[in-house]
Amino acid sequence: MPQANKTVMGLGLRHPHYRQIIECPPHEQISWVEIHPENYFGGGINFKFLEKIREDFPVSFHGVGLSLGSAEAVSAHHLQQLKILIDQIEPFQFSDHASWSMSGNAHLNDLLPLAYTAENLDNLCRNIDQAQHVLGRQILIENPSTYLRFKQDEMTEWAFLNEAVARTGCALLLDINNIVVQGHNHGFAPTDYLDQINFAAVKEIHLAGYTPREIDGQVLYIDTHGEQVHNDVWQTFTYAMAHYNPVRTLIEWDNNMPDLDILLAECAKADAIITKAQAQGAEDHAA
Amino acid sequence: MPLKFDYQQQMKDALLSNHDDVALMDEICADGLSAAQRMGIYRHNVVGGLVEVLLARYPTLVPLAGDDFARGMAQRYILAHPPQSANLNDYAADYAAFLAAQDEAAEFPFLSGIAALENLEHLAYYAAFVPCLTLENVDGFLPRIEAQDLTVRLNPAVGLLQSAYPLRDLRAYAEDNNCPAPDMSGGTPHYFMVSRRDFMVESHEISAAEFAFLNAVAEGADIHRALEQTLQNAPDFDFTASWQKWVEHHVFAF
Repeated sequence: MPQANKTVMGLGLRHPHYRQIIECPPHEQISWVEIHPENYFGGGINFKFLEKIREDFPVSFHGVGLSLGSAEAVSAHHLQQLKILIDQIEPFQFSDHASWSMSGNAHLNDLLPLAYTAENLDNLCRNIDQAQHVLGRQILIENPSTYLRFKQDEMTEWAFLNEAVARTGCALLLDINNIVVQGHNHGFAPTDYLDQINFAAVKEIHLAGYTPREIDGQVLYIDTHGEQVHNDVWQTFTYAMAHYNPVRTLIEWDNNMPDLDILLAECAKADAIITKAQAQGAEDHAA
Repeated sequence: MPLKFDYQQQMKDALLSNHDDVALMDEICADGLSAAQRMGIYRHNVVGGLVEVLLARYPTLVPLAGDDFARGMAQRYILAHPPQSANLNDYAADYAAFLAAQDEAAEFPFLSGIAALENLEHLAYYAAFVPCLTLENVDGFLPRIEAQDLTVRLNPAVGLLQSAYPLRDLRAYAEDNNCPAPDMSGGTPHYFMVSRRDFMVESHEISAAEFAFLNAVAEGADIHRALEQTLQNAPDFDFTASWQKWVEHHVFAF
């Protein structure tokens, strides 16, 4: 059975670290792991590793394939594959993204941007309802990183997400890195986002590294998940923890995968920020 | 239902064609960069990401044909055959056939065979685990197999392949130039079996008789019938030695 651990920190489970986590479970630094369920469909070697790791850590599913923001309905086949894996592994949580990937005959391997219109909100809510119905549980939706916005936008991203929560009863996965990326790319203060988002609906936080890319003298932040968490992301996370209660928090790293020790050090850094914010909160409350 | 503002269809078409739709470009806020530059970031992510998926699934194509060729072929495939589902483990299973049909690949006639072998290895990795005959349990099952009371089939992780080229030796040479250069004359057929034992996928070069036997089992023959068929063409087939090796590599399921 998974061991009890007071930390809210978790780790995105990736193939290069399977054996190390099985042989020496890092219970001091993390209390849960998160997977992309699409990598475990079918019951092969990845699934066998996951079954072993499940013995030591509760598992969260972070989907990348529902395409919740698509104009078309969610794939019934994909939902069914998720349901089978959920029944096998029994994750404590399921999340996917407020974005789209599927259009017509193609599923593009990316989290593509939504136009924040009433029509797209209707479609997103319809697809969240479908997913929650088939999976038989509340799901979380994650705020995106984007590199363009549409002239047809009718509301802010946080208003769009808050409305989706209100209409469907879903929860939020708040990616702090994505907020920083959005703030830089689209010109707003990340703290404004945190002040406006319905934080009571946030059940998980992601922290990750972006990569600055210069195009014609203008720097855009690209959500690469391939570097350590940047200082402005840590600062935004510190702001969030100073204003809200901590929730499960994950270090997410997908490219240029480092040694497990580096990931665990990032977890420890986040944990220290949470602990300090809680101590400060207790002091303020006592005063 | 189509969107009133159907940017998703337009964006998908643009990303997969390298041509930006004018109507779509008009709907994107420039904010200091052109709409085309912003679309270029997504094109880089989508197509570049899928190229990496293909190269990871077929890892020997770069050392054999070079980075430019391998990436160019992958990009051509992606634009012509984008993924149909979010399960990328199922993507590009037909890449060997695609390569075989490309005129530019004629310079590397062995490339589609390598891709076919690496596809079988990929499938073996993701195949479901089922109960198998192993060195530990086989003695208990032999009486039932002898009495034809137990149907034995190939483990779903097992794949079979015939090629004009010594694919395993070629791959070893591509990965390590200290390995001896293989004979690439293409005059003799080579036979391969991919198997999975616990958490390890392995490929083996096998004899023509072994290939014939395993192929017969794959097509539904029971062990006795498959052996009978094999011995008709290969009377010297040492079934006992092969059987021992196959059981050791978890080739048979029940």
